[in-house]
This record gives sequence, C-alpha cells and structure tokens, in this order.
Amino acid sequence: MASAPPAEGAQGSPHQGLIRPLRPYVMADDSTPAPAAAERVDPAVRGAGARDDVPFDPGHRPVAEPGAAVRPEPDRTAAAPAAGFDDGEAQPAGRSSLALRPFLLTAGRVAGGSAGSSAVPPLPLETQLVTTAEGLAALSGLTFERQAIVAACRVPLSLAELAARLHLHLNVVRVIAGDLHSAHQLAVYIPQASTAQDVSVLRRVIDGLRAVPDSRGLPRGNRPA
Amino acid sequence: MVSAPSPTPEGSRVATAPPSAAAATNPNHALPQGSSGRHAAPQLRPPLPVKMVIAGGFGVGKTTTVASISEIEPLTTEASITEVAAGVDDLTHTPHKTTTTVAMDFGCITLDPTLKLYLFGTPGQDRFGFMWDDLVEGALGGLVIVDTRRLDDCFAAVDFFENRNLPFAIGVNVFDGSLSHDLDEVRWALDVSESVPLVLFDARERGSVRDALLVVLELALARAER
Repeated sequence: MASAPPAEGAQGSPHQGLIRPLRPYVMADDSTPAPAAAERVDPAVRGAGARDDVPFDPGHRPVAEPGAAVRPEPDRTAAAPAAGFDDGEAQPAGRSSLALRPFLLTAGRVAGGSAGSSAVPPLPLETQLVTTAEGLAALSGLTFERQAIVAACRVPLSLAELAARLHLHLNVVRVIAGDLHSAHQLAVYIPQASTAQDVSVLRRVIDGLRAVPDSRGLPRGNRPA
Repeated sequence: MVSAPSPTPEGSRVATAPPSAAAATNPNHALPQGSSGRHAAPQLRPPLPVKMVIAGGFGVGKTTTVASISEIEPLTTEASITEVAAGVDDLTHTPHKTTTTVAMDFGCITLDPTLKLYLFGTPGQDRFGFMWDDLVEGALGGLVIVDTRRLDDCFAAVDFFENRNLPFAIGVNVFDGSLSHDLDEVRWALDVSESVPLVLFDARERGSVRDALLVVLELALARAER
C-alpha cells in the first residue's frame, strides 16, 4: 500500500499478509466487486484482480493467489506488482487451498455440522451432486468457485470428489453446494444411512465386487488357488 | 425416472430456510434409496453411493489399499510430512515414507451403472480424528489395516468401530511377504472377539484387497439378515 510506513513493509509483518483482502470478490455473491474493497487492495492483489476476465482454471488460481498473500515475502512491497503475482504462480502444486483461510469463500459461514449439529447433519461425503438445467443456464454468470462446481457437476460427482478435484476445503464445498441447491442450480442427492443395513443393497455390492477382476484379470472364484 | 418438478414449491420452502439447512433437510426424507432428485435432469440420475472405510495407523498401507482397487487415481489431500508433521509422526518403521495423508484419501468403484462404492481412507494421525464421524456415517463397514510390527497403531480404529457398532474386519497387511507374528498371536494382542474376522492380505494386490473387502461385506450382510 502506498501510504504504509516504509518500516512496516521492510519488516514484512505477518499481520499485513493476513489482513490483506485476498480477493475482492469473495464476500460478494455477484461479480461486482465492492468499491471499498477495491480501494483497499494493494498493487499485487489488484494485479491478480485484473485477471478476473480470465476463464476460471481450478488448477491455477485458488492455489496461486492466496498462497502468495498468506506468505508475504519480506521484500514484497518493494517488488513490482507483476512479480508478486508470479511468485504465487510459482507455488508448488501441492500447496493447496487447505493451507489458507478457506471459509473466506463462504463469507465465514460453516456447514451445519459442528456448530449447529442439533439442527441439520452435514452432507455425507458420498452425497451426489448434479448440475440442474437452471445451473447450466446460469453457468456463465456465476463467479469462480460456484462456476467451477456447477461446471464440474455436469456429470454426477460426490461431495468428496468435487472438493478434491477443485482443491477446495470439504466444508466450504458443503456450504457452497447448499447455496447452489437453494438457487436450484445444483441437485443434491443425499444417501440414507439406513442403506448400510439394506440386505438387497449389500447383496448387490457383494456381487458387484466379486466381479471385479484381480491384477491378473480373474474375477473371484476363478483363481488358481 | 424422476420428472423435474416445478421450482416454485421447492423455492418457497428453501427461501425460508438457511442455505445449509435447505440442502440438508429435504433429501433425508425425500430420497428413497438415496437416489431420487429434486430438480435434476432425468438423464443425469446419479448412482446410489455406498461407502466403506479403510482405517489403520500411520503408514500402514491405507492409501495403497485404496489405490489398488479404485477405478480412479485416488483423490487425496496430502502435504509433505517435512512441512506438516516432521518430528511428530513416528517414521522409525517407515523410513522411506515421505508424505502422509493429512485429510483423507478415497477412491471409487462403479459396481454397476446404478451403484458406486466409495472407499475412504481415514486420516493417518490421531489428531485428525474429528474426521472420523464424517467417514463412518452410513458406511457399510470398515477394514482396519494392521502392520504386525506396530500393532498398537490400530487400536484407535478398532475401538472406534467397536463403539460405533460398525461391521469391520482386520486386515493384516503382509509387507514384503513377511509376517512377524502368526494370526492367533495378532488376535490375542489386539484383544478382539472371535466374531471379528482376521485376514491376511496384500495391499498392493487388487484381488487381495477385493477379497478382504468382501469379508467385511459378508459380515455386514450376516448382521443385516439377523
């Protein structure tokens, strides 16, 4: 920030990195950034924000930008804005968004699990998510994570699979999926826990698994021994 | 097939509820067999998801087990142990292991177009135990993998499954074909009842993993038929 005292920038205070708004759009459901937020961002982040027109790339952006913001380099304020962004891009792929403050994406809301456990159970991990026709129609108007989720769920995906593929925190996906479901853009198929004691389901699973060939291509029962 | 209902009645209901509640409330009673939709396109009806849990201590072969039988590359959230847990996890017996699962890993098998089996590996360390309730809710059963060199690593998983009354078997992973105790000794050391099946298996062999899972499922079936 231009008005920041030079001494603070030189020290690379960790707080500066933590309170810096990671992305101007995270608190807003629509794609219009709040003017106040836009004024507060420093050149490095604004450089990232300028790429808002770039199509969403789940493998790239959520890993890169916030990672850079959470671990500020000591000489960050002295570096050119583009350099700050490039630093982020150079992060190893293993540095996932789990290392960040993931609930920025949900404006601090959490799924109905730990806090409100009495109210509603969280979506099970194997919950199937499918994009609806309305979701497809709205796809181009959605912002990053929402767009990625709706795009990915054009084929049915489990909650866990979706979170892993998009490198998003599981409970963040739970919240956003709930939002998208409320907006009729995502169908949510929650499995019933009683399925686990259903004899017919168990028989189907056993039969299906028996047919899985082993490494030599033989199903169970056809093995030499 | 499910006809896509008009959004209006659903919309009015959802609008009055908080978003997470809206997502979670309706399908619990709305979905017989877990697979009828609210506003899904009929052609996209997802399979019935079922799941099993693969548990055990750190470095015991959970990820290998999932990888052996999963039809997808196991999806996992891993962080290098040098960053996250160096000095915390015991690497004495697994000197070549460089990463450990800090969240969970999972794979899946499409058994038929309407049925999909998910395999979830539990987090490798006790301090991620808060994930376990998530994992076992609605699970068909569990497989506890043990390494006979470190039997005590699996006690937490055995206790947890016993407390939750989840059908489970103990799979003794035969690393390098070596078994340092016989099965009776293992059973005695683990102090599990005779009703808990104990199987030898090789986490790297798909057929071996499949057969170990089938032992768990047969147990679950026997229990469900009771």
